[in-house]
Amino acid sequence: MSDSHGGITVDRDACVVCGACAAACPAEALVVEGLALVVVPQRCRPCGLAALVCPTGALACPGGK
Amino acid sequence: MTAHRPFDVVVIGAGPAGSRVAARIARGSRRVLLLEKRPQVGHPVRCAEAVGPREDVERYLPLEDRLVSSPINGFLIVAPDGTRFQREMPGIGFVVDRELFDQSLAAAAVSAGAELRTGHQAMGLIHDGNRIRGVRVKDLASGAEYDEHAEVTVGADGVESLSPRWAGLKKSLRPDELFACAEELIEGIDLPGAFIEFHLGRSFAPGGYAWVFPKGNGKANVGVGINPLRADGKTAVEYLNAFLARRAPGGKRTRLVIGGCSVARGLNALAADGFVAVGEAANQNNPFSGGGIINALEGADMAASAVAAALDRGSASAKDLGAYTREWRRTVGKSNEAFYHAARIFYALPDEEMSRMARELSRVPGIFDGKGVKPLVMVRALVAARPRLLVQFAGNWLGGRRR
Repeated sequence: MSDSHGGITVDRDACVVCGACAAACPAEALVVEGLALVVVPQRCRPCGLAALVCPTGALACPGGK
Repeated sequence: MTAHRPFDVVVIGAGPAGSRVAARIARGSRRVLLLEKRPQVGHPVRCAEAVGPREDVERYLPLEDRLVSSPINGFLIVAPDGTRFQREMPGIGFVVDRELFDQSLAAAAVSAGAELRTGHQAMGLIHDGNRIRGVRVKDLASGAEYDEHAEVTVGADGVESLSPRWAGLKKSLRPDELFACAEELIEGIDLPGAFIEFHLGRSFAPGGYAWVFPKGNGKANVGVGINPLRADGKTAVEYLNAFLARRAPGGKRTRLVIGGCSVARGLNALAADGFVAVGEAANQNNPFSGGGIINALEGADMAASAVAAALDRGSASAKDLGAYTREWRRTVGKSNEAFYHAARIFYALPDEEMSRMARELSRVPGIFDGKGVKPLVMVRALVAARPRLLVQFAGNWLGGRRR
């Protein structure tokens, strides 16, 4: 199961909400809320950093590098 | 929720750093609120769970048997060329049950008088000009948001922290300031002597290392931490799978632990007006190993002392709280700075040079004290082995600290 938010697609089966993307995102477009990863698409630039650092490959960011 | 007398201190995050700060300040009869966004403190675990010697841990909490998964009796480093360096060092550390460990620290905060609210998340800081005066909080169960005012706000919200960014102390982490980590708790692995193992090599841990940390009863945390910029488009999980096939074939996977781990350089300032950052939120992890539990607790005590003194004086400006930054930078921050520079060079080495360097380092007298690697001795040894690194080190150091 995956969902798309502007430039970011989250594979919810692979995402374990570790927060690495939130640490790397310069725009606060990815936020860990409780035990959930929340995407705020209007903040996404997109730069591709979240997908780059994701340990599980749960994020796809076609607009990024 | 705002009808009560305001808190003196609101702490964001009930990990080791936040719980310790909360306990220390609440003990002085101050009103402390400890916010934790998860429903349960310590769960799920996001850590390889190794800590240092008993006396280091017990400055902060009794290391009861139930908290200990396994003692660590020494270490083994496997260089990229397969060369093994092993040293028996009984008492060098412990692998703990991080869930119980964190819960013990949070319980100590509550015993000291702090109010713990799980399932409550910091959504933003309350600003009054430059002064931070508390936290906008969301009750995740009801969705309701409310303000909690406080004289001092403590950002202890971990690697994914936003509060030090809201306070202007920190930026997002660059990809090379993070280890992307993946780990399995493996059952049925061959573990000679409860040693901790570090495996180096570009093919299975580019820009980082793979580890085996004993958890007792034939179990171990087996993981990899990689630099995403050196990962050739592969994920930490893919590197973990390759490492498991090599180190623990046939082992049973029982718990997947995933996380980003800060290996960033220390912050220029740990305090703003009415705010301090502590623990991984403040880049206080060891930038060579990523280890951060004891560092967080040390930082917490330094922060708590400065916050308590500021509250006593009735003034919590960045200047009043600055003693915390200075003490950190004089002590742990100083060795972290050396580790940071050593890491930047060491993890960038090609495999054959890393093997050579590991051989050199293993021969350096005095590089290990009872607690592990001594950073300045390590830097000196790296430079001695490869004199041209001196220029690089000097450049890094003189290049100034980055925010």
